[in-house]
Amino acid sequence: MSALLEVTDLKVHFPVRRGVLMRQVGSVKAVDGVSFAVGKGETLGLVGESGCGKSTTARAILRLIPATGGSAKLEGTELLSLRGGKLRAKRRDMQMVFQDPYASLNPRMTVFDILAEPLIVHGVAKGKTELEGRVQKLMSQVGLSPAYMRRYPHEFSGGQRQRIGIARAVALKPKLVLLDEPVSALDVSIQAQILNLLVDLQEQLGLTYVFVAHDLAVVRHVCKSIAVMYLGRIVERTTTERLFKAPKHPYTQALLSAIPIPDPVREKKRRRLVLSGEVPSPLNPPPGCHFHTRCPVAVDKCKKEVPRLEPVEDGHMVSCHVVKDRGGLAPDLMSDLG
Amino acid sequence: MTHLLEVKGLKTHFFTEEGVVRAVDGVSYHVSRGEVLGIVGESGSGKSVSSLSTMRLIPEPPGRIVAGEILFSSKGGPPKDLVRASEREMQSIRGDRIAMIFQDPMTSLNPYLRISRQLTEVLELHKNMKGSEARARGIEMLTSVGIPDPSRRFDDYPHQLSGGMRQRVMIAMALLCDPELLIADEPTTALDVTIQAQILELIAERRDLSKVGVVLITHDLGVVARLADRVAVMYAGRIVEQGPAQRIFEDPRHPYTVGLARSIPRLDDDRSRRLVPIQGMPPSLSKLPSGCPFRPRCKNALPACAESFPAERVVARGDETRADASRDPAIGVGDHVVFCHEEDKDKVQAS
Ligand SMILES: Nc1ncnc2c1ncn2[C@@H]1O[C@H](COP(=O)(O)OP(=O)(O)O)[C@@H](O)[C@H]1O
Ligand SMILES: Nc1ncnc2c1ncn2[C@@H]1O[C@H](COP(=O)(O)OP(=O)(O)O)[C@@H](O)[C@H]1O
Ligand SMILES: [Mg+2]
Ligand SMILES: [Mg+2]
Repeated sequence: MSALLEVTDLKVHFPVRRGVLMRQVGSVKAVDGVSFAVGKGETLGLVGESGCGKSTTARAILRLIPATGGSAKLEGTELLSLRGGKLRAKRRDMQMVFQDPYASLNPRMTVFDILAEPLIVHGVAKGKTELEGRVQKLMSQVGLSPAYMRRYPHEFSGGQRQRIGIARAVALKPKLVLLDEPVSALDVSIQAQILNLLVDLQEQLGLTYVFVAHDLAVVRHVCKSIAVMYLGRIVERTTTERLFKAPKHPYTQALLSAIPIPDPVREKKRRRLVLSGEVPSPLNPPPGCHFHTRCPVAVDKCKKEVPRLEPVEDGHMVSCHVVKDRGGLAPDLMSDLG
Repeated sequence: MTHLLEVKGLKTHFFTEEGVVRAVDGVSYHVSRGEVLGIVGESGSGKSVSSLSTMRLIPEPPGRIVAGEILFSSKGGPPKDLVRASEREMQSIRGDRIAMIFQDPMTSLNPYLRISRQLTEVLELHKNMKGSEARARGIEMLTSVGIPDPSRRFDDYPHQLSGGMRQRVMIAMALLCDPELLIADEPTTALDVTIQAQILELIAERRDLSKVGVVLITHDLGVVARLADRVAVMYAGRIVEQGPAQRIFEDPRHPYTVGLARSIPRLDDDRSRRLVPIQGMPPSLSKLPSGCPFRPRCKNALPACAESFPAERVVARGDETRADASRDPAIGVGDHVVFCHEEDKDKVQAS
């Protein structure tokens, strides 16, 4: 399988400046060597807690912010070095859907203007009749009544606004769509409507998704494979099945055990690994494995050497000294709980 | 038996230019000592307004408690109706006997004052505790909510702390006077799951150690399943179903409760299952449909549903449904009730 999107060792460091001279005093290593690939028509989930670098990864791939290093290839074309007209042309193929549809839609534009804009910019439709026809079709496709074409974003509910954001993203039939927390701001009864819409559009249009989220239950439903990030790095990456059945990295295990299940009987029986402390500052990350300060099984080596993301089993990548030393076996954290 | 808190027929409305917003439109629930009542429902369903009513913190105008009673039995004494309490009486109850925590800790913390000052002020006001005694108690409280290096953190300003730490400080402030009732309004919604797990453990620990009664407001059914003994499901200003947690999850009788459970992806379900959303959106609280407010989205709607809001129907009596035998037998006991015209359980659960 050749991947549609292939990201290798992506780095995004933000300079930190201080004082009147705005001298650079350090850098936030928001993304620090991230690698993954997504096959055509598939969905990769990018998960992790806030601040771990998910949005920055997505933005760098889309060239909304500059990358510090690494590579991101779309169908073999290096995206990170594209310039000028070539970059503009490529933008058609990659789109983004944001968490807050309201902030990402111009409040002074009608739905028609919002959806017609990309069609005009890329010259795929012109003339009022043709544009209106295309916009109407787009609106029906995302479950909005075309009768609302002349309305403004504030006249819609949160769920409907997200439909507008999605319609705009798919207007040009892109190859890749980066979904940045697309349902996190919505009520649960509306979330399901939007998730189903995304699944249907993927099928109809053959889209490839990178799905950024912190809700693992949502990601589990829509993604074929998952990469778990912690403080700018991927700690584990594998198929969704495997990740949930046999998580190996101690952080993944803790993350999964922290998620509440809507079943009081199971919740009472469940043993939980509650991590102490918080994610350290990315401005001053700990040496070695970034997770060692909270890891219940960390050994001396974890404080010094950065673990590499390596396969421990077929297609199951883990970045952990302890897992590696155990020949790919996950440490049994629950038994350590007593 | 008298409950710690018993809310009866509460109605809180807002009188605005667009009309009357029926934010809370006749809700009843109760909480006992050491018990957690979970209130779930989507945004705008009246969860916060119902708890702000208990604290008598509704901005007036435009808001007003137009009907109902809020009976609070402090220290096992006779119930007092907070709806009729004077502002002076409320001041001595608020922050002392009943405390509230919010999604945004800065709702209760003053950004311009050191944490030490904010904590000792509460102690001085309610406990007449000053100086080094208050300081010691403040630091002790920070320790008990898991703030690392508490004596150093004590003199920080709120902005010097992370979001999770501020949440803990707010909880410390809420628990400072050993309240009998804690109202937690979306206390973990803004937090990451690993921090959420820490905060939920902290609330559970306080419930067990000091027998504080908790009203836990959330939109997350998982959080409710983890912590709540009983659950009330709110929709458009009404409680539509209420009962012991296990019953609400295993044998839901309201189409909205059933719909909510179907629409959420869960860690333990079949992941290729297509989610079943609830079609449509909640109604505007100033333009409610006639009868049951869920009717426009309901797959079980009957002609009667347009006529009247359904009367309370008891599905199971509280004494038949003990929530958790491992804890105090008085905890988690309550009727399973539903407000729905469709009485056929199979039709509701199959929809
Ligand atoms: N423009 C920026 N300048 C400096 N730091 C940034 C910038 N954007 C993001 N960051 C930092 O990079 C880290 C990763 O952020 P982000 O990618 O938004 O995380 P996530 O999406 O996983 O929550 C955070 O510490 C954030 O504060
Ligand atoms: N000060 C106010 N003026 C007018 N309407 C209000 C006011 N406060 C709350 N409301 C309305 O009351 C309803 C219920 O709000 P709330 O209790 O905050 O919902 P929830 O906590 O369930 O999300 C909402 O429709 C909201 O707009
Ligand atoms: Mg983000
Ligand atoms: Mg609220």
